[in-house]
Amino acid sequence: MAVRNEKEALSLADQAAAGDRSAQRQLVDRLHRRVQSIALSILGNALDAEDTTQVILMEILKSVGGFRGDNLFAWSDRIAVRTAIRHARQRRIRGLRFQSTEDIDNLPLSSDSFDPSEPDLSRDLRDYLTQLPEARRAALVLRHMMDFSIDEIAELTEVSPNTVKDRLLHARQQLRKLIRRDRLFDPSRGTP
Amino acid sequence: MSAGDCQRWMALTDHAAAGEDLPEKDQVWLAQHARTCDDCARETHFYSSLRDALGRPEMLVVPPHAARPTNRHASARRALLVGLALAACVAFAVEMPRYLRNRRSPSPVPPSPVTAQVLFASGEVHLGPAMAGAGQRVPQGERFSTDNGLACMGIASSITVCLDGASAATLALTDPSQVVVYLDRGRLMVRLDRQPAGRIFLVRTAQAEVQAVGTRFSVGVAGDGKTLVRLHEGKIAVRAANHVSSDLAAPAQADVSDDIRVTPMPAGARGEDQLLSDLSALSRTEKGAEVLLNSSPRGADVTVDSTAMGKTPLSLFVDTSAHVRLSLPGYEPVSDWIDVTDGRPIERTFTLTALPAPPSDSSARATEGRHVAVSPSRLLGTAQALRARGDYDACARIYRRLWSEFPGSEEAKVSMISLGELELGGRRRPAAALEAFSAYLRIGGSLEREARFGRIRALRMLDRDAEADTESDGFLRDYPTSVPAAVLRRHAHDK
Repeated sequence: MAVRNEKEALSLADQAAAGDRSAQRQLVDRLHRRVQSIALSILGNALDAEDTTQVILMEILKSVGGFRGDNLFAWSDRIAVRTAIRHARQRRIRGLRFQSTEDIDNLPLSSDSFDPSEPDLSRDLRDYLTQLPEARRAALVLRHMMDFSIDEIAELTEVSPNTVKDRLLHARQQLRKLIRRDRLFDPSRGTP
Repeated sequence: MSAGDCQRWMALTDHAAAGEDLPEKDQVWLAQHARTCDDCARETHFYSSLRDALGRPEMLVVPPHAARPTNRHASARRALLVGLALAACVAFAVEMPRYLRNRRSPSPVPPSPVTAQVLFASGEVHLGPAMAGAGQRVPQGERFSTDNGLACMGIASSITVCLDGASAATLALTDPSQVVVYLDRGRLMVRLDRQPAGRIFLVRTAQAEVQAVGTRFSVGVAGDGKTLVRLHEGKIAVRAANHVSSDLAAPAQADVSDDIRVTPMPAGARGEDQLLSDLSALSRTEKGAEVLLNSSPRGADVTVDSTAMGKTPLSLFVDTSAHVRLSLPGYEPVSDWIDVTDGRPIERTFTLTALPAPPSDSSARATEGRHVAVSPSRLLGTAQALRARGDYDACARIYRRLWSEFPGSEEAKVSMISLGELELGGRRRPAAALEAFSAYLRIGGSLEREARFGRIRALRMLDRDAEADTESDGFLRDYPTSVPAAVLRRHAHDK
């Protein structure tokens, strides 16, 4: 369900900001799945993503008065990304109390907590994403899923553009290895 | 096409990803190359799938041939195994060793040897002719059977197989690259973590073979020999005796006899499998200590951390601590904590006291007289940290401990909401979640809305849709503008 034009989006946002419950409901309905995809892709963990999705939607409803009608999705995406990254950082800090020797930037997420029955993302796609360390995965998702520019990603993740490029390159190389390695086991090509 | 072309393709796409504008001729060449190179096409497909996932997850397609190596590897093997499936069921002892010897594992990383162990046993459980208890090794080829009891075994620290009553299964572990459970009769539930590269897991009956990687499913053999497979999580491949096969994605059910009939999971199926599912979740580890629980008189119903586990005598592994409760009609229930200190086996016998009247719920008195050494806030902090670390089982135990040791505290109340969410999400145990949310609502508090929303979601997962609908209507009346209300409306709309 897409917001058809800027005028409609602005009208909906104005009504939601004014406390119109029906408009708020519509807004949440329109953004929920998109926000859920973003949270799931960045956090990797279905349980955290569910919590974060709710937080993001609340943030969007709180901030909707600031929307000025250029592009509703672009505006909400930025809120979603910032919130998801903030939650990822908080989770990482909590985790470090137990794993202080781990390298933060290279701390991979466990995929054990994934619920494969959830329909949100393809299990295989998610499998690949969870192989990546959190920071690299965020760079990859922002660039290739959400089409943010390098500078925009740098701003959203609060690192330099060169760091973004470095993370992105490493994420792509890691994925490339996984995808090519998997092909080696493709039965249609015979076992190695 | 040469390796140099692929190197060039990778370099150009990396440059483009880093924000560089490519000349048009390079863009054309990239597209042409991807059409002739399967590896590069897969990579391209991955990124296009990722783009499609934004807001339209249902439109995601799995990259062709892009599953994990374990899966693909297993698929290749499966084709080799099909012809032997039935013969191996009938003449396992004769055929299997020869078959396994003849197979050469092409695995790039040789898997380590596989061992199996009884994780849990209640009532009459046998390994061969002898009674079985937690901690016993399950030998290759030995019949593991439950007559009037329940049992779970752990295989390779990553597979839990729980047997329902009146069931019997045999393990084949000779080849470390595959684990096979032969289900002779009854029903079993499997909870499976990802297997190391090169290892596959199979359940075989006389009429079916089920293969899974990272999933939860049950397999049952009916009196007429038909096999019923229920997939609760993940994906499995089911193969019938006539070599027809079908890939299932959860939730789904398949009747396997001469053919495979795949149907949606019927209402109530989850409930039927709930006990075994809970058991398989609770019996996930052989860490800690073996605990043998007995009662006088025998046959008392036992719950461990609020999950019904069967009747005494009962043996299981306890990692750090567990709350056990024994009840028998006509007797006063007893409950206590089992704390593991040094890993040595623990044996506890509870003497039940006969009562003239039906016993009342003693959960509030569960820890009466128990020495309390920690504060509720400290326990809550520990639970939150455990959850953040992903140690959901230990976290759930702490939440329950909070509830029973500090029943009036705010932390205990909050812990019930957190426990409910944990059971719904990370542990996928809606019955336990329902119990936690209900416990909160019995006392009441500022999180009533969250508790009610949690109850509705738990009821849905339990397929108790009529109750969920009723509670949902009430929720929408009381909290019409809340975010959960929007979620409920969307769900109603989707239905």
